[in-house]
Amino acid sequence: MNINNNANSGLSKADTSQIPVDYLEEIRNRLNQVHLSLRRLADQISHNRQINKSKIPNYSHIQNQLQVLLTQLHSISNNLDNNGNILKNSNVYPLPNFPTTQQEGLLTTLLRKKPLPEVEQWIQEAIDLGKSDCYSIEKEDELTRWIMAKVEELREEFQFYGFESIEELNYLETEEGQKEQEEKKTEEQKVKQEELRITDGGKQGLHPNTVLKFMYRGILT
Amino acid sequence: MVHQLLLVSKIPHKNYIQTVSTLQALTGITSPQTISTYTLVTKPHNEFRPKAEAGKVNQIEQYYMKCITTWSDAASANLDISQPILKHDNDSILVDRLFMGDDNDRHWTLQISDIPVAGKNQTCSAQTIYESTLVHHHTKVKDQEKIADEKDSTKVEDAEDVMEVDDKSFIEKNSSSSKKKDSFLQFLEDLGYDVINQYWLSGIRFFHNDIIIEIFKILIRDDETSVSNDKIKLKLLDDSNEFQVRAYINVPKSTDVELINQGAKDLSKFQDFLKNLIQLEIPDRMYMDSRVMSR
Repeated sequence: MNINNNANSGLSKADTSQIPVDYLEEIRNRLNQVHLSLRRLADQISHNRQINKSKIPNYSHIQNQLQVLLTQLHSISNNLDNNGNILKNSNVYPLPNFPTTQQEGLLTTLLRKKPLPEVEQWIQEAIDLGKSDCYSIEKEDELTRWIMAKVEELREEFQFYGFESIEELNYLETEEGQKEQEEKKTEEQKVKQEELRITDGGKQGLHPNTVLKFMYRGILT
Repeated sequence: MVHQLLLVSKIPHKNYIQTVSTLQALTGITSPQTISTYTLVTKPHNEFRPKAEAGKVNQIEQYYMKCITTWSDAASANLDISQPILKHDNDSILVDRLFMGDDNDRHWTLQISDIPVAGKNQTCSAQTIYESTLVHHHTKVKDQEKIADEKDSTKVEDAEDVMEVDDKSFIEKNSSSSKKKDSFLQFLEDLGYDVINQYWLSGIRFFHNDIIIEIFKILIRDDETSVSNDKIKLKLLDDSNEFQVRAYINVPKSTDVELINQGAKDLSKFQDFLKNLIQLEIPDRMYMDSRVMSR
């Protein structure tokens, strides 16, 4: 591309040493990447839709793609911020050996300083949305904070011990409850007794290996 | 010869009903096969020590042998394994003395098994078992003079399908031989094997595709409390009343690698399927070594 950034348009011989070419080049690369990521995301969604109408791509896939996109955008905006002055003060012009007549369409696009009308419209829409109340980030944060505080507050009103509710505990205090408790205990005791009787006093069973040895060689040890 | 892929486990008595119901649901077999066997564990009487020579086959082993037959007397029919067997119970298990009985035909299965194959990362134990079942005429050994006297009756014995036996000779035969040593034990002795132990096995068997699942208890002779009559009192080998569980697949040939791999895969799938019910595990091959260690 035969486009030259010039920090000082007054000089006839361009002094390119002041221009952070690397950074500017990086912006271009990043933009390219964002373009690719966006297209991939769009492909993913539309492709899946064609094959199986009800199925959208995996949630984590979209999330990952979005994360990548966000990082790229972040790095671009950082780059733009850092080099804002240079970009603002730079004039861009084609060098004499650029094929101006053949590439007129491309040239007008490249030299464009203002956004396209539709892009301008998008920007305006975004700004309007940001201004309106329903999308205010601050308000949302505020709501989240309020919910957190409320939950904390509500939780402090309760105390959790054991597995019984207060009604159940109160019931246990009464005579009936105590009787029931007693019955439960004796029942448990009974089961335990039976268990002990069956296992000959809670003996541990022989390991299958030991039994196998007995079956193969007639001895236990 | 079978190649047996095996996983083992045990379950406490209280889990028996649950396990059986689960297996019934899984296999679709509502009334599982009952297992009821009697086994003699025998060991070669004389040690055989060939001289190890270079250039000759030196891997000569002696093996323990299991002799298995059915256990089918009144005691086995009455034994309900879903009930715990208790030590100090009044109605103890009294089995007939096998070698005093009158039933003539007995099927004895002689079994010799190799040590399970060694190897790392095994999914199950794999072992080659050699079995031979012989129909044994449970005849009694007679005194020399008696044999001379009873030439007629022996003739009848030879031609059993004729069955024209007069009652007299039968009674004579039985009475004369009841105190004599049984011929199968005699046969084992002649073969050079000593009986070193015996056990009775009672349980149930399920089938799930190729997998055979056995749940059983082992009973042994109870010598502490003697019973006067002709019966033998049994007690549990494992006093804790726990059941032994075996899940195995028999592959006809040990060389059929494809079938063995498939079987191992099936078993490990089955193990995973039942992991919350039974912890099936790989038995230690050293415990299943039935070679006689003479060296």
